[in-house]
Amino acid sequence: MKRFLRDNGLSVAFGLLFLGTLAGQAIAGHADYNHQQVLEGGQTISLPAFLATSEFAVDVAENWQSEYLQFFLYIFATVWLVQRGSPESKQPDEIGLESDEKQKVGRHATAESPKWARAGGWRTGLFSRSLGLMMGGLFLLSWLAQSVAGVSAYNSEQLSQLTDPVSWLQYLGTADFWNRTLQNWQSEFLAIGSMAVLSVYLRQRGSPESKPVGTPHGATETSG
Amino acid sequence: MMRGTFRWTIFVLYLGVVLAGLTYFIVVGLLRL
Repeated sequence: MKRFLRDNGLSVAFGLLFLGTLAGQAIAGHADYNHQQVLEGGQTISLPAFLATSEFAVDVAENWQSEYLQFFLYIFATVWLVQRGSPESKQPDEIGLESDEKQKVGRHATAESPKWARAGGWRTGLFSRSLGLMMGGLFLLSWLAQSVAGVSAYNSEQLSQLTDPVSWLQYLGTADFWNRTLQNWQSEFLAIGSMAVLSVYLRQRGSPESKPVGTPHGATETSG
Repeated sequence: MMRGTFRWTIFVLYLGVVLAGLTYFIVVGLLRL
């Protein structure tokens, strides 16, 4: 057990943090929802009922989509774009997909390589892009979930104010949809840019996200 | 072998929670349309 926790500390710690904060969001969101209901003279609802509202669903989904977009773009962009001096970047002369030899695919695969790295053809092609494809797929699915839950929440608000509901396609053109989307995107892009730039001149001893403390500012791709 | 199994379990758990959550949100949205 002790060894399991030591070997999987990141995934266990962040999994628990996720569940804890999601529960916190549910409790705070429920209180806020009922507060609004009281102000507008509506009926308050129970916590389980709140978890089945599209208001809760859209609030969670809009944050999920931006996180998956962030990782998808970061994974994809770092293949083609570099930042000299950043531990998040590779060397400027390695821009692109790199050689089969360096990537250990096809006949360059080792005995321990995953089977699909050695297989060649579509399997190696797919496996070679699987991380980006999964992040991109989860982004699109989360964005779809945001839009579907979003139109439902938007329409219940519209109906409560005796205005016409909109279709899903119409909702994709509303300020509500784009405000929810872009307010999350801008923060992700700022965070990615900050990480790439600040890690050039600043250090965190022991973190693989940082260069070793004594590494020159100009050195790229040297995690410590 | 056991250690690899644990890693795989966590991988499936993470992906499962995310996909289940997204499916739930879409269903919630569709039912209220």
